[in-house]
Amino acid sequence: MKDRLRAAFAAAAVAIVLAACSVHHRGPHPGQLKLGMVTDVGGLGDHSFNDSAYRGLLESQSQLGAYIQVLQSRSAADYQPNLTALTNLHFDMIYAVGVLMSRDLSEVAQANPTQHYAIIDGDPTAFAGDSNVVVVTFKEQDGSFLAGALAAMMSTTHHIAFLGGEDLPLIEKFEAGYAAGAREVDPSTKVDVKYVGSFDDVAAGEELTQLLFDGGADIVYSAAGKATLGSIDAVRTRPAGTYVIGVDSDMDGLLPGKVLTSMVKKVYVAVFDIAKAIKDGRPLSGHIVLGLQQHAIGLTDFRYTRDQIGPQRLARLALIERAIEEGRIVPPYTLAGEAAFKPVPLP
Amino acid sequence: MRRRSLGNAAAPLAAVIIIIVLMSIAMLVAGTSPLDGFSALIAGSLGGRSQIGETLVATSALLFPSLGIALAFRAGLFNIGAEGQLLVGALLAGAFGGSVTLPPFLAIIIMLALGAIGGGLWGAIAGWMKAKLRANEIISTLMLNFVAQYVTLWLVTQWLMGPAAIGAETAWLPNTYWLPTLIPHTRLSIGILIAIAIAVLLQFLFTRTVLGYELRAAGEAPEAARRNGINLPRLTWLSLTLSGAIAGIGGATIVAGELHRFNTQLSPGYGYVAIAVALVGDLDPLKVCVASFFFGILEAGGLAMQASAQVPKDTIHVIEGIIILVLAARRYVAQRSERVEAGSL
Repeated sequence: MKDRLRAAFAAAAVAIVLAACSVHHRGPHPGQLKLGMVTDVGGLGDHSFNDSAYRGLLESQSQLGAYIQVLQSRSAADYQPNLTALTNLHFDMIYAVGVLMSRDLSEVAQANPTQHYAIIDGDPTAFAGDSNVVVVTFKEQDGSFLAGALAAMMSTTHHIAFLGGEDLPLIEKFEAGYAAGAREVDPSTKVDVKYVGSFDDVAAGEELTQLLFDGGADIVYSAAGKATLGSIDAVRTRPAGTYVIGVDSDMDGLLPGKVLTSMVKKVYVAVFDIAKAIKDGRPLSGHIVLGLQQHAIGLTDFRYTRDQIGPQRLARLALIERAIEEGRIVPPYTLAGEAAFKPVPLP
Repeated sequence: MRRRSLGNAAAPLAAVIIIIVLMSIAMLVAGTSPLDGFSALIAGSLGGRSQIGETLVATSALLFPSLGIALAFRAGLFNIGAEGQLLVGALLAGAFGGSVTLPPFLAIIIMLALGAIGGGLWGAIAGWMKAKLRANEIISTLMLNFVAQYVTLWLVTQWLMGPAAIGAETAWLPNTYWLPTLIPHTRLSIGILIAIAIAVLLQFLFTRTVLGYELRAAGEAPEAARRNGINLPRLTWLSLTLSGAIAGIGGATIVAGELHRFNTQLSPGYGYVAIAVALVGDLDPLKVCVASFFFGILEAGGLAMQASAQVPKDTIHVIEGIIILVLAARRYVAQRSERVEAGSL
């Protein structure tokens, strides 16, 4: 029995060695542009923020010939080890995806002043002294304003709702823009607000969305990262005329006809631009702000809901969009700004 | 007897060999040469000061819960709840450290003590349920993990959220409350020394004290122990309490040593991986230290392995799961065959 076991082990060992010889090296080639990315706890497959950043990485791979690598974070304790592991391997650019990593990235960046980093949605004041970090933020209030305007036009109950992930200044931008957009088209619209308390708790996202629907709202804008998938589950069994608005990536196809639109944040544009700049030898630095004007923020093309919305509402939405681009409407990004916001009369 | 002790010494080594073989297969499946994979793994875990620091950070995080689990297992109790115990201990430490002003030395001592109290309390609940209600501790400790996860989330979001917190976390500890760094320019704190000290204490407990003897007796021959007047219910809650306390101190050292605040997502599952570590370490405190270091290498090196050799780090977690199964099955078989032998006598 024992001998047979030994023989089996030996055979296995020989097989592995033989197989090993026939496998090619799969690491980066010398001189290849190396791009690393650390996701937040939402991870890949969130159909949201992380996936959008990953799309930028894939585009860099196909168009710039980059070697790409993603390390996913299962917990807050993973951020620093992940960032450090990529740093030790001397990647040309390391993307930290998400505001949750701000402080961890700041510590790692200060310890490694020659390494380039980029943080999506980072707090620019936290990186004021770190010249090796480029901070990318978005004017989410622009797109959220459009989402709010559309929701107020579509609501039959004049009652809509907002579901945020975590109660952070970042998500306040979504909430403020949304409420102001609703007010722009119909000041009598009621806007309920709830927060999940996390960006990855899909079950809680569904439960809270159900509560918002039960409370009388017929459209819920869910700015909750991966937890938004729960909101989409919640609208599945609701009657026609009830909608969820998705966030970050184009979620319209996840439940066609029930996802009214998605507030798309083209993180991938920023990821690609930063990679290209590194490849061209002129790394970006400082703080980059992207909004409607840069075509980095906006709603989807309504490919499943166009008929339900109708040409009149679409035309009105286009007017509002142009007003934001031209600066005639400045969507507020704080709740205080939202309270002071006055609807701008458009022709 | 001699055969048994020999088997015990061979088990961890066999486990390590099995891990290496399985990993080679996984690397081949992923299309990478095991040579590339392992060299990336070793370079990423031991190839420099920063790498060694990260390896030892992971070692430390695993060592506390593994020692707690080993203690409970030796007393015949399957504590699957180290994750929750660690979390509760970390929460108490973080909530205290982030909000109270005291002389730093005193604050650090109290944070560690609160870690022990929080984790111990969480373990004691399962111990009490087992001793009084005969509730199976595997189920109760496992379920208490989820209770801990949601209770801590609720407490943090309702009351304990730091003023400038991004995410569900408490306020940051002042710099003076941070555990001193052990290796300069790394994140490694002296927490790992505390863990090793606990391992030595446990070794002393098992080999030199009456309580340790009673615990082992309760684990290896509960019926005989009971007939000899050992109070089994008392040992049950005591061992689960101590087990939880050790995991809880681990949580406190993560808070005071590395993260410097409590975050509800502070553990990527240390308490679960620790079950494998304790089994690979054969439930022997000193061998558990070695096993933790081995798993620390896998955790830290696994990242580099993924990043430079394209082997997904998750293969390591798959293999850890297989190891739990293999070793748990082996213990089960050993126990059964011993029972059969005893019956035939």
